Amino acid sequence: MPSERAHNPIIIDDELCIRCPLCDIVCPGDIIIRGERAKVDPPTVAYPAECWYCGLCEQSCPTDAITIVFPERMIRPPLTFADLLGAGEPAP
Amino acid sequence: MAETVLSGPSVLETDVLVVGGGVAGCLAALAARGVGAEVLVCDKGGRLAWSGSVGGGVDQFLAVLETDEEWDRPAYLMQSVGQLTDGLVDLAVVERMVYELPRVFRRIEALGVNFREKDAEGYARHRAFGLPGAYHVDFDGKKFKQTIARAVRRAGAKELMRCAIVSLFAEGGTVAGALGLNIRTGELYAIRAKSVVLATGDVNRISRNVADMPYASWHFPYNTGDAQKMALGVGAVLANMEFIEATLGPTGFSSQGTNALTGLGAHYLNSAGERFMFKYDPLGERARRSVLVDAVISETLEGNGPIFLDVRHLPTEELANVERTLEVDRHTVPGFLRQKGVSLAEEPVEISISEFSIRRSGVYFRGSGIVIDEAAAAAVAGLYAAGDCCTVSAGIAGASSLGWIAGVSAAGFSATQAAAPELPADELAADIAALNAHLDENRTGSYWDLEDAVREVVTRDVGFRRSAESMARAHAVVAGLAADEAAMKAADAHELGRVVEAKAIREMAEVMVVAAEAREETRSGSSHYRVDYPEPDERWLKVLGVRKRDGRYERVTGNAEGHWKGLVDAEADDVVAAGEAYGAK
Repeated sequence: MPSERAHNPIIIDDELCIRCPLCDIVCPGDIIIRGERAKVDPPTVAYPAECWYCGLCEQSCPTDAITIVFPERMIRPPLTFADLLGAGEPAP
Repeated sequence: MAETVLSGPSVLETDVLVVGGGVAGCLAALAARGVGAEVLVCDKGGRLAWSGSVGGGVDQFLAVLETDEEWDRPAYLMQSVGQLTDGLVDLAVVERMVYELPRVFRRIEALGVNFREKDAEGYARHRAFGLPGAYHVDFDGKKFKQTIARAVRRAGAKELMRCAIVSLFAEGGTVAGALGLNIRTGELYAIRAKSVVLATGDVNRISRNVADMPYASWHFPYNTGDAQKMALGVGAVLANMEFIEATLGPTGFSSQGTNALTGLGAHYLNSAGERFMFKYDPLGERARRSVLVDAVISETLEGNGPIFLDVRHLPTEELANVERTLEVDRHTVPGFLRQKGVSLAEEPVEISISEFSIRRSGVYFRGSGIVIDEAAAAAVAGLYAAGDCCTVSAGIAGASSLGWIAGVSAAGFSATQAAAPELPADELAADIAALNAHLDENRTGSYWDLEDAVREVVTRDVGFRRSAESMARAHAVVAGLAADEAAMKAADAHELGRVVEAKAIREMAEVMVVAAEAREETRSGSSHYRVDYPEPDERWLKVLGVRKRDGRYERVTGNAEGHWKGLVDAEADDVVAAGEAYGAK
């Protein structure tokens, strides 16, 4: 995984988290993995670069322990649409 | 330790295997259970209630309700389909799907989905996507998927969750079953099935977006064309693969929301502050969605970007509701705008083009993918397809209707089969060995690198502007990358699932180029814009299919009447080497 994409979008408040498995269950991308010991270990965001930013985990969390935080490259994208198509020039 | 990642395979048997538990898959499961077939549903998600592209909710459903309104009948809607789709769809299949819509709507209501307006008896309906009537029902579909998933369980279908189907088997022209992989535990399943319904959705992660984050996409990033690749491999035909679909989102976050703002009456402004939409369509901002997207692409390429959406002229009470409206489409959009420091009530928000998908080219009913007939049957006995992975696609309504039809057909086929066939032992062993090989610690390739290489060249050279020259470059690169597939390394079962997806993405990109090179015209705006053939050509009012025979791609086109059926057996127009063989030429 490229390091510049390693931003963790799913911030879990350790104090608020009650170690239920809901975020693991609802995540459509198999990104969040529940802790090994039920009700003891917190979940981990195992594949942060593969997040869809759908927010199902944030919505489903029974104690509002999850906040979605966007990376700088989404807030201020490094590229423009024209760059993707090749320096603003249409394909020859 | 690599050798302990995978276990099994456990052998399972079923009448009907449903691959993909989204809306199409769930309706297929319900239909097949309804006539007594044993059903097994596999999905990559953790729980059927939230899996698939609308697991988080949905807010509209295309319905034909057969009320007193003249337009509210299947026959009336059908009159427009030929013109809407340029005829690039099998009208007999659309007709079958459209005639099923009133019944499927009532069935879904009976499952407990409330389509009615809040605190009212009637339905809130609006006109959209260039359709000839107010077919779309607005409803609170936050729990739509949860409701139908509960029905699937009640009906007695078995579920295998976090299970990616990684291989499909056919013997003597009849489907035999599949190999499944639990992407969390590494358990393998050898599934013997009398029939198979494919419903894995569209092809995403195939191009870049401005944040360069392939998973932070408008469409569902975990749909990667898995079914299309597997179907092609066992003899099915893919069609309309040259067409792409893009949409609009706030710059940096390819997300839903701009449609809702457009619906509220937002103005599109270019960098000079001009409302430019009327240059492209007399309806201005009320033009069809695909027209709006095309206009933003053109305006940007002409150097008039960035583009902004402005809602400041809306009445105060509507502005107060704007955030809530956005949240319905995608929960995280208001948070994104807050973090970006944009207040819609005070300033225009910059928007941009999303990455693109192989889906339905912005044209309702005209799907891209597995060619099916009126029974939702693909060109392999016992194989069916529905939803965004097949050639007739119309949102969740289309997925529901064709999913139901596919389920009935599959169960009917299964009833004619004495027993589920044996899986071909050699192929099964070879496929499991190939999976294990990716877990070898000595592999050095990465699924990220392979996908990135595909996305870079596809976006630049086979994107919204294409030419013979640009596509020749892309074709060599994408085909040549087939040689790098075997080297991809997976550290665990999850990554192995991604490796399988990366292979599907690469092959679908190759099929897209193979198809797009042949269509020497421009059609449906930026869906297939050839700078070397910038005008539509009526000689190309015909469907283009790609099939795979003896490891090579065959391009096949049909003529106006009944041409879809011919795609399976008609003589190929020409043959194109696939993968490494093409790269080596």
